[in-house]
Amino acid sequence: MKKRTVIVLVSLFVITVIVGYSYLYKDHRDISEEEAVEVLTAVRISERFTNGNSKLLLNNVVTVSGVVTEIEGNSLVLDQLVSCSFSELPELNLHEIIVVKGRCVGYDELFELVKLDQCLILK
Amino acid sequence: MRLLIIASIVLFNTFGLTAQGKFSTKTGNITFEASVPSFEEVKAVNGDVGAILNTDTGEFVALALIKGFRFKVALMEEHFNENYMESTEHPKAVFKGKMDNFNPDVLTEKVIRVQLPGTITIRGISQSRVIPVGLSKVDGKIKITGSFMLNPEDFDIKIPSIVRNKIAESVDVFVEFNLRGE
Repeated sequence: MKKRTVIVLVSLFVITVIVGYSYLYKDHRDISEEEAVEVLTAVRISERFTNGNSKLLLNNVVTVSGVVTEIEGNSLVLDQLVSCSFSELPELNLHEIIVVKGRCVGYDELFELVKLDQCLILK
Repeated sequence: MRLLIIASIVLFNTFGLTAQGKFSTKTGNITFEASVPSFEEVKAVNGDVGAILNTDTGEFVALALIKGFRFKVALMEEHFNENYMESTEHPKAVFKGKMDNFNPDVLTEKVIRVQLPGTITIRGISQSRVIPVGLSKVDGKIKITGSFMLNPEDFDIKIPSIVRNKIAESVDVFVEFNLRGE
């Protein structure tokens, strides 16, 4: 009887520690694995933010297509409307048409740009 | 011929001046840290901060999206956005300031220290601050670096008592902008 109680208590403790640890140290979202909530052009996504219709996009994964108009550091700009940041920017040329998947971070009023991070290029 | 040379010099200079007026970046860096020794590191980085410096007036403005701050621990990032910063209602942090007697021509690779008074707005609450910054010019880019401290209470950020001793009272903020001419 006493031995059983000890086993139950120990296993309860172990389970609590494992559950607690996996809650505290859960993995970051994997943007490449997530399905995009919407597929849009750079012009369309920019309109969504200027129209105040961006609730469904914020903090969600989106796919955006457009022409590369600027490259700076590890980020690029599509159609002068959407800024996409990468952990490492692949080889690209200005004026290339590309499709990017990333997390929608919000709208930068300073440059009037929609911002995406953790981006990857689909094509 | 002489007139043509003079005209072209004048013209060239005017163009040169207008191009000088604005330096900007879309990939500025803000790091903050509120770690307490022997507890989990409380630190986040945003490498996507927009900033513009008007070299004619010394005016400087920077905008960071709160959701752009990345933590090492995913749960910390979640709590930061949802509980502390409420980043859906208050998506951005903005700094607006102006350096007195700013002169871009004296900038070299050697860092000079200047005061940058301005207003920081976080969670819709504005605070006046004077930020000490370092200014230099490297490869044609104007570099602004700075570090300062912020108190979460000043911006009405409530930290629950359960984690109070794991998060520092004041937050160290480090900024770096490499601004290029437009």
